[in-house]
Amino acid sequence: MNTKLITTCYLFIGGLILAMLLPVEVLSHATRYWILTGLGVTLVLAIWLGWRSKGNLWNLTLWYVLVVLAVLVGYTRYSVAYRVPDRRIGQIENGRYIEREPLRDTSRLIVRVDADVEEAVGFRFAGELVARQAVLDYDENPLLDEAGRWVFNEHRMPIKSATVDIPAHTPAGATFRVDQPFSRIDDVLWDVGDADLPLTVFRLSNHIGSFVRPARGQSDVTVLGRIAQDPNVYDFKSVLTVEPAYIQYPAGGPYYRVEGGDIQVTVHPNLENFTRLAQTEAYGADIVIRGELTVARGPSVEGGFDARRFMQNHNIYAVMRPYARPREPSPVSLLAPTGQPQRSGNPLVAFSLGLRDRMLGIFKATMPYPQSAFLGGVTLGLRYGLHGVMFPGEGPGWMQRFGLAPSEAQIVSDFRASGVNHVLAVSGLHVTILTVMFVAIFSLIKFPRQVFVPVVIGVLVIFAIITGARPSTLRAVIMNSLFLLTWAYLDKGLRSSVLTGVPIAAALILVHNPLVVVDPSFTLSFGAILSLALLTGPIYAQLCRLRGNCFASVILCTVLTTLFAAIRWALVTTAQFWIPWSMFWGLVFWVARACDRTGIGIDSRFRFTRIPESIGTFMAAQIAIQIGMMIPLSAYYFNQWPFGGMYANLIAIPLIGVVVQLGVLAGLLGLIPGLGPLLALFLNAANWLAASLFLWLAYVFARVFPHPFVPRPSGYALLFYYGVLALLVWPDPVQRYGSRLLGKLGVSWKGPKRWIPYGIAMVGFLLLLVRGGTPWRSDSSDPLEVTVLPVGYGSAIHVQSPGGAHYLIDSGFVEYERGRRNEAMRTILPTFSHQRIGKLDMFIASSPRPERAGGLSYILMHQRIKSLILPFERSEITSIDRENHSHPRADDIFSVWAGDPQWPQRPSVLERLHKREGTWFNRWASWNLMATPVEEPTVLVEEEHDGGIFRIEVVSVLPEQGPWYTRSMQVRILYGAFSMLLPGAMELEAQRDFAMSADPAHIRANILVAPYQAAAPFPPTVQGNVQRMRSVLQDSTGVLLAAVEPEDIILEFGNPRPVLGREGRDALDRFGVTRRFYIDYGVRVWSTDRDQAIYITSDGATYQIDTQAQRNRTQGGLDETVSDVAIGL
Amino acid sequence: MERGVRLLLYILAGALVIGGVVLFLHPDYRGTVRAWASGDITAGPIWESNRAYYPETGWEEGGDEH
Repeated sequence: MNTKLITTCYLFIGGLILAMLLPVEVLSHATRYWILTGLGVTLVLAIWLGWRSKGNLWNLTLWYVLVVLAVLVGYTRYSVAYRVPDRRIGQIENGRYIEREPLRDTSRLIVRVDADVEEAVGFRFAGELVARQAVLDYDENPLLDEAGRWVFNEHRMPIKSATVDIPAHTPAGATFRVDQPFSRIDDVLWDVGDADLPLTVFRLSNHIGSFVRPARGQSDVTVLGRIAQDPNVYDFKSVLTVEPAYIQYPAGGPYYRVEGGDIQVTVHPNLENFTRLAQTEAYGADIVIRGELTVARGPSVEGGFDARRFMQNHNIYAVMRPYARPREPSPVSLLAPTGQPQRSGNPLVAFSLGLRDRMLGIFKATMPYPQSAFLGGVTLGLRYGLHGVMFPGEGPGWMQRFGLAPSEAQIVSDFRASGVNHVLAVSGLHVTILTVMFVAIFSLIKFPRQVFVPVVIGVLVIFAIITGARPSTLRAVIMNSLFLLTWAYLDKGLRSSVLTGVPIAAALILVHNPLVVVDPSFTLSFGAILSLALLTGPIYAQLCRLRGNCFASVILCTVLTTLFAAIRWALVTTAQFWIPWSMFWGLVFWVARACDRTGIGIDSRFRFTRIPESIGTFMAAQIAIQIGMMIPLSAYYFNQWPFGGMYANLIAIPLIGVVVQLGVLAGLLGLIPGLGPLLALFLNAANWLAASLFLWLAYVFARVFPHPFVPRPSGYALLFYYGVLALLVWPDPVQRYGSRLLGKLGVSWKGPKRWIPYGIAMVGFLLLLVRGGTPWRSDSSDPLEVTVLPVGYGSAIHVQSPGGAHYLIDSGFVEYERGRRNEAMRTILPTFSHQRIGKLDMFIASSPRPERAGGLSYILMHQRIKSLILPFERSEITSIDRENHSHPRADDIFSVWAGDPQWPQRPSVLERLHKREGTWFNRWASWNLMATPVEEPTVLVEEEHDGGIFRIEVVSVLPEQGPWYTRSMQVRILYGAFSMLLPGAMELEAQRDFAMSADPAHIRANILVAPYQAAAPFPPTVQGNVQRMRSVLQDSTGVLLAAVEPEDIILEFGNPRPVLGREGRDALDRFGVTRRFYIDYGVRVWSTDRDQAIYITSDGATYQIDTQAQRNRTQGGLDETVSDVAIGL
Repeated sequence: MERGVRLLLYILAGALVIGGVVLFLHPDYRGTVRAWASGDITAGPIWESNRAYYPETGWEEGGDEH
């Protein structure tokens, strides 16, 4: 029975994954046919297998049917959750509408063409609309009756749709949307063409996703609903999850009843009722919101974070950011039913959240900030309260006595870098700590376990609610509850409970919301528990074999390899390190083993098994988590691997046990009137020490150990990796079947024990190592690929030559205050990780300005680079006359290149270049780098391919005589007949001079990347006067355009405030005028702020431009037009 | 699982002793003890340092808001 249950759960999950890999179109009936076909085939298979076997035919058949049903249920559950199906309500045959089922509620329609269309057709629907209009109270807000129902007036009216135009030669299967709402369809009125065209009519689901508009500047909608969760409160905003009941769409239109999907509403403190919206009491309240209904953005670059998908996985299909307008009522109002107080949500949830708030109050009274924020994060799940919280050692303080300079370290980023971030995601660790604690308390007062186990489970449920009921918490609560139940009533052990609990917990969570199957919180949580359950045992068994010289060798090897990795991570990613290193240690182990056999050297009593079993198992568990979860899944989800995590967690996990237990006890005891708060003060005073130690641990490990970017594995590589790991978990069956198979093939070699699984695993790991690096490429027929990365107000352009070499021109900006946006770490390096680019052949810094070179120090920190090109001598950087310069940005530029004395921990280009000088150690790691100055026209790269000559050339460096911080390089990329000009940071006057002085043949290009982010400063006398600004543009940029004659212009733009501060507003105005000037020039204009990443490919003769915004649309995203809104589902 | 009982007791006893030492040595905790003794929990330096952290959450004891 147990096996059947586990198998069914796993097959259900398999069905979900199958639906992800092989989705079907829900508008058609394909799902139904697939299901029927699958059922039929499986029944036949089951009967055939049953007949072939010698078992009971009926039992076997039932078993196989169960298996297939589990897969099908998983498949359909995912399909239906992923795309809300539209209902077929009728057909149009011979020009007449035939109703199959009546319309439910106010509805929009979709028409599907069922045959190829020869001639154009046009028709209209005629019917009736029952339009809801909200009844308003004295404050002009919609009214709720005593029972909490929204009150409407209904108006019946005849309605005709706009003409549905179906062009000639439309293929069968094409769909057309009818936006006019209907409550009943009576007839079809034919305007144009053949009335015999067969059509199917669907009702578009009133899911909230079908109402969203991706573009800004849409008309407002009004949403009536309830707040579905407690608000996520930040220091500058509150984020609400609203379950909509009705939506008025568009403004002034009828109200639709919403049929699914939540809205994320972000409110800021400038709203008059912000305080009420940032309190737990807001949970469950009725709310009316007016504003734009839009959707989160998809990834800005291939492989980037997909906020839209992430939200949809949590049932959020729309976002609203209402803002207060002068002389208008507040766009957000909390309402109450007539004559009743404001409603709250589920009583258990409301109680749990109230309890959380009171515990938080106790934390605030008994533990200083920021340790209190850390305690709130790990015990109450208030991790949003930790955002932007600085490490307590900042500024003059006790940390400086230990030689640590003032830092801008944020707690969350330190946690991430040191690998202890998981403590903020309330999961199995926290739930298990609480389970043990409460069982211990009840055992202490001699309660029988059969009595207290239900109470403990109740406590765990409340804890899950308090901490936000995320998948990881739910998984842990379900599993711990199952364990407690089997322990109390069936007297079962931990391992069997875990192996049963994992699939049951996973299936229960996925039945509720199948879309979280790819969510990091789900996969990381289950990855961790499966690693612990399956890998800890085999690893511990291997460790227990270590003794004497071998044990000492392993310790030494681990210490030295860790040392090398900590000193120079780049070294341990090279073959020139691993080949001699593994040969050396192979020899050492061989000698050590020989010595162990002959009794020479270290006594065999020096062995792993002398370590207490609990500590030994704990160490094995840490290795298991790294192998099973952290290494593969960190690389897959975050592109980075916290190397020090394995060591940090050896201290962090016991420490967090103390912090959580003391925190929860203090919080609960503090609720007792009288003596309670005093006890809480004592406990949290001690806990302050533990919390400070934890923060300090993260701070130190984040600085001692690297947090490198690693190649992101593909989904198939991950599957392969876990397949190989399975060989190590279950080696005996593989050995048995393998030996039998080899025996049948006539191979009778008796190798070492388990040589088949271990041999295959070794080959598999080697394959992954080889294939996991830079992808194989290329032959000369591959196209040139240029990617203009979306780095906001800045520039970063990646070029992949037809031969597969990689070049990067500029590196975006880094913002150290406010939003702390670092484009190198956020966009450029993750893109390289996603594309598995291990080495840059050249980095070209076209200008020293922060928007172009701000990220260079981070690129130098993380990326292997063969050569670095600068528009000036490196020695010039130290010679800046900071007292007498006239350049408005010279200070910022100097900080980027030479460092900021106020913030010595901020990396600078010179400091990073110093660390990459040609020492023997750097040369061994291929980490050495020389900066080459280029101050006159030069060909930097030249390769010959099928499409012609590929070349990157410096056209000029301007101004020729100016100081280094004013210099800018003009670069041209050529491949065959294709060319692209990058004029860099040229101001308006320089654009004209450049165009007039350069040889036209050297600057003509198919594509022009607009100079100076298309926001070059104007003379102060014309700033603000659009006509005069255009006139200046005509005399400068116009001359450049006339000389270059581009067919496409690319604007690299984004919010300028992180780079320019208050001057950003002027830059926005300048960009607006300049952009319009480029558009009026009459060629295609692309912009990274709207199109996201811009991809250019050329075969040397022609070129194509594609954008990430376009890719997001074609990959099931949203279009800017009305007709494609349905895809938003 | 019952092994956790002894551990919990050790942790609690240790925490009370260490907590007493911290209360004695840490100036913010000393200030907080003085504020509590004077009857106003939110007047202590610890509460003051937490003022901007979830400012909507106040101090409650036994259901009475102060």
